[in-house]
Amino acid sequence: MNAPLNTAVTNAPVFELEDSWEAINDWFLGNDLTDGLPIVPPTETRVALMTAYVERELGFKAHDVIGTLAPKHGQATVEKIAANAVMAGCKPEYMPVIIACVKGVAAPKFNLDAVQTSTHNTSPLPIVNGPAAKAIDLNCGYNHTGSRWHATSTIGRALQLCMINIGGTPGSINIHTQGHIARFEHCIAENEAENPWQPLHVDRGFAADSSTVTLIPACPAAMIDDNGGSQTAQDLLRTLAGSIAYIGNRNTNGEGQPLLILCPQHARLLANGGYSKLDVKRHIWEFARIPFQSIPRGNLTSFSKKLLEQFDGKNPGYDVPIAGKPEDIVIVVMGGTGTHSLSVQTRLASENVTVPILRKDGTAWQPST
Amino acid sequence: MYLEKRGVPSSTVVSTAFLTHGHLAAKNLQLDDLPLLVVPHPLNDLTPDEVRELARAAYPVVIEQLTGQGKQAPHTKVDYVHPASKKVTA
Repeated sequence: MNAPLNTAVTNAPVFELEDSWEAINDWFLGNDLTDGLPIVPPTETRVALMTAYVERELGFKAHDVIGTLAPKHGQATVEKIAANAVMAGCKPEYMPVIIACVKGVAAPKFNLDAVQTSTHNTSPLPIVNGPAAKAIDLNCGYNHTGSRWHATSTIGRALQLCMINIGGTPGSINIHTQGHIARFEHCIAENEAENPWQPLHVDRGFAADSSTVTLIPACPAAMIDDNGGSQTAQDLLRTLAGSIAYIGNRNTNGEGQPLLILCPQHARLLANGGYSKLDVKRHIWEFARIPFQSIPRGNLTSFSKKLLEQFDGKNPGYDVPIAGKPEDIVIVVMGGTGTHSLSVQTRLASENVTVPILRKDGTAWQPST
Repeated sequence: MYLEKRGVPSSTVVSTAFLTHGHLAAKNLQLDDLPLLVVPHPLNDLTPDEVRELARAAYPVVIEQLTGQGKQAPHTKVDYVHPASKKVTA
């Protein structure tokens, strides 16, 4: 399914409801249009404030379609995104980031259909780079979940509500085996001030002063607890490499694009030890491996026929890396003080996407300071 | 479903876990009444012999969905009990 099949919707429907917070929330809950938490009622006035901001800043009209969201193939107009952003509690100035998030998950290679409907515990993780993150005070330090952080938690929630209300049949298509707490909200910014290397968006060819959102098809993060133990870059690299690969990490199929979220102290230790970001990726690719023969055959039969064909009976001593090539590993620096990093396995058959925040005319958007 | 959309008779198989998604996908294609053939979830732990048994049980439904005339049930569950659900342990 790749073509939008619904007819264009120029105006979202408007309902008249009793003017009480309780009645409105009951109606939205009863119609499965929420994540289960109370919402801010998306009144015409509130939605219009959002769309007016978008038109002024980005040039998009309320009825412009940003993308088509699977599995329902719902058309994400600026107005519908705005309504969901209001419901999530967003401010209008968060809209450029939210629109980029929606554009990212709508990209075919992100494979939102599978992210939304498979049993795999996955959820989009938006990583914001560039001046937009600072302008709206997105969290890049303590607390990766964003709790108590307004822009972080409401932008993440707005994307999830768009996925529910524009992309799906509310409340019914998420059959992730256990799910992912990030299905409430997830959004982080890279800690560029404490990143010893160039940030993610510059790695991807964008100007340092431009703003981007990178959408990762992320599974629940696993903590790599170094607890200050590594005194040298080499020690830390061994800790990282030994912590990332395990048989139940789907990226050990030698495919996928695993994410490593390094805390600033870890990134500094590696950089001061003379390692570039690419050096770190190469080291992890080389040493975060599982011996082919230690992977139960049934696991490979279900998940990686490619590995079976390549190595079964031919090279049982082969060690399987966690990505096809070092460059497929994504590294960002994020977090506060402390010596804990995060390893995030990603969904196979879904690729990460970096979306520049652009105006409708294609020029880069700069937040007003 | 795309074949059905193009006028080629089809029988669309979904496992129970994906039934809602199956109806939604059909609705997206304006095939709201597309009958679905529902098999027990999961499939990946069935042995080849069990898959054959399941296929035999599904066969009459497939034929009915390919050749049936008039309005059909929105989905038909195959008369097959998943081996895992037979194994009850204390």
